[in-house]
Formats: sequence, structure tokens, C-alpha cells
Amino acid sequence: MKKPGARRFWATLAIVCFVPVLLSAREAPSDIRQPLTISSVDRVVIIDRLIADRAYENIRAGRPADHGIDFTLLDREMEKYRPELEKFDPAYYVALRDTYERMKAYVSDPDSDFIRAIQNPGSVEFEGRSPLPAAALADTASQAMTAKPANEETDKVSPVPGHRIDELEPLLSDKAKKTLSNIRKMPETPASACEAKIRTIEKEIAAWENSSDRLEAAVMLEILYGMKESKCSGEMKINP
Amino acid sequence: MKHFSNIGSIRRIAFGALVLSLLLCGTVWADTFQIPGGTVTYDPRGNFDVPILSGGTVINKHVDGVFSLILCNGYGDVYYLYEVRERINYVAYKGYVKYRGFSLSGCSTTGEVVMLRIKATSLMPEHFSLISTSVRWNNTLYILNDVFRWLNSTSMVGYENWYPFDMSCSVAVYIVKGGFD
Repeated sequence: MKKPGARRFWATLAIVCFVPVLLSAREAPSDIRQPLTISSVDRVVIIDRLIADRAYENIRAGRPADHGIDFTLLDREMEKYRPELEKFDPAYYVALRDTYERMKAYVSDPDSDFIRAIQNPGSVEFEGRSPLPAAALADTASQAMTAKPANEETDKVSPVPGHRIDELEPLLSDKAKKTLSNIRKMPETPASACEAKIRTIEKEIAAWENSSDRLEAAVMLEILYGMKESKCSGEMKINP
Repeated sequence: MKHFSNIGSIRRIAFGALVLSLLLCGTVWADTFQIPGGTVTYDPRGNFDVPILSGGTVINKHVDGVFSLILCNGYGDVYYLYEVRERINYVAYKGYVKYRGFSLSGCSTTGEVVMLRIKATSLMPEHFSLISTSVRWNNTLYILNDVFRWLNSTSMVGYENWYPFDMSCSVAVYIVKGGFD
């Protein structure tokens, strides 16, 4: 008596589990092929974010960044909502248009910083509001760059435990990346060669101390001193 | 008897489906917010550290509390606020922010916030001025000022300006939790 009911239960459970998966698998490719449209004023006000999201998806999928983004269409949509936005505040339309044009230029140029930053994370440092979509921003790594234990003095900043330097590397300046690369290339033997290299890198980092690079300098010194204790004795703390 | 068994099966199926849908949708109910074009994930209590610059020293404060108003913008930054004062012409809020949408080397991705809701007058409609901070290199305070007002019943829009960094952009703001009287 119970068996048919139990079978039905498991069959239904299987359907409930797999149908959403199958549906999403079927929907994903068609969603991507849909051209980006702006159907309401709510979406116009974040037009640059919508373009960034779509371009990010495209680049990650190996398509041209502007695939499925028809700027003629988007320009028309901007114009369509222009009276409404200008009625709200004439200056707002100008600010929005500037933000949109910046994004359009980023996505249309295959060599733009935006595209390079997605293709090679960490290779480009944007100043201020990043054009990258939120999905592309390494939130935890950014947090770790400036976080430090409570009540610790400013000059004694150290990397947050649990975050490897590899995670932070994309956020480092070119100068710091070069130093990190030198640290990684440090000879393990003989010990004297290792020590000599450490002293050279130490001097290099010390030269930053009076500039605005104090945090990076502190992080690099921390790594270097860690290396002094470990790498020269054969232990690896940093991925080569 | 058979009829009774079928009802039992249906009940079990319905219960199973309910449990499954709860599991699948649980995170959506807990801490995600849909904005046009994306989803913002947030912890209603905050649960992040904020660097506070005081007398040349940075201390980290852990944010974990109940907030009466949570806002987010189109960049995915989430503002956790509570009301501190109400006057005839304005309401003041204080709180914290967790940024997601900017990159400036050495800048903290959390900060402190003060927001004024400036009530409508015959000259100006209701609008908001929000000041948020980010500590750069653990020794310099960066200020972001967002000025915005209601575009329609769901979206607020305006501008953002930074200091000392030179930057301006448009910004859209949404209510995630709470609201205005």
C-alpha cells in the first residue's frame, strides 16, 4: 500500500529538484543572446551598471565585450527618457549621460582598461568609482588591504590573518608587485645569498617609507621578514 | 484505505516541496535585495569592521546591530542607518557603509555615514545628503557625498562627489529595509 505513494513522493521530489535546474540551463543561453534593453526609467538611471554587467558576462564567456549591446538602441532609450530625467533635474541627465558615455567608450574599445581589467584581474587600477561591475570586484581582498587588528597603531599595519598575499596581489601597485616578484624569486641556497637578497629588497622597500606607500611597504616588509625566518631554511610561505 | 494513503502521500509531497523551496529560497529571504539589473547581498546586522580615524590613529570598530533603515545604491554599496534626530526641516541618520562598487588603492571598503533627509519646502522638494567615509592608507580620510531625491516611488537618484579625490558620477539609491515617515 505504501510503495506507490513512496515512489510518487520520490518522483515528485526529483522533479522539484531537477526542473528548476533544467529550466535555468535552458534559459541561460537565450538570456545572453537577448540584446540589452532599457525598459523603464528605473533602468535608465543605472544604464552604465547594466552595460558593465553585460560586458563582464560577455568577456568571461569569450565574446566581444559589446556583444548584444546596441548603443544606437540605448542612445534612443536615453533620449526617450531624457524629458523625464530633465524634469527631475536638468543637471542629472548630464551627469548620467557622462557616466553612460564613459562606459560606452570602455566597452567599445577592445584595448580599454575596462576590458583589460576583466581579462587580467589586477592589471589595471581604477581610481574612484570603478567601471567594473560588482561581480568583478574582489570585495574581501579590498577589505583586507586596509583592515588590521583593533587598537593597533597605524604604522604597525600587518596583513590580516587568513588572507594570503596571492589574494591581495591584484590590489598592489606595480612597484609592490615587482618587489613581491623579487621576494618570490629569492634564492633558497646558499643562506648567504638569501640573506644578501633580503637586505637588497629591504633597502628597496625602505626607500618607500616617506611616500604614500606606507601600507604596501608594511605589507612587503612583513612578507620579507616572514621569508627571512622560513624560506632561507627551505620552507615556502608564498606560492612561487 | 487507498484513499487515505493517497492523501498521506500528497501531504508528504507537499511538505517535501515546501521544505525544498524553503531551502532554495532561504538565502533570498535572509539577505539579498533585488535592484534593477542585479542582486545585492547584505547582512541586516552589518557584521563588518569599520576603520575609524581618530587623532591620527585608526581603530577598527565591529558593526553588529539593528538598523532602522538600510539603503543601497546601484553600485551595490549598502548603507546601514539609524535615526538620531528629527527636526521640523530635517531628519538626521547615522550609521555605517559597506562599499562594493569602488576601487582606490589602499581605501577601506567600509566607512562611517551621516545622512540628512531634508524635508520639502516651497523652494526645494525633499532631498537627501549623505556623507560617507573611507580611510585610505590608514591615515587619510576620504569623503563621499551623495545628494539624491526621489525619482519615483521606488528609486532615488542623484550625484556623488568625492574629496580629496576628484570624482563625480551619477548614482541611484534604493531602500532595502525600513522607510521614511
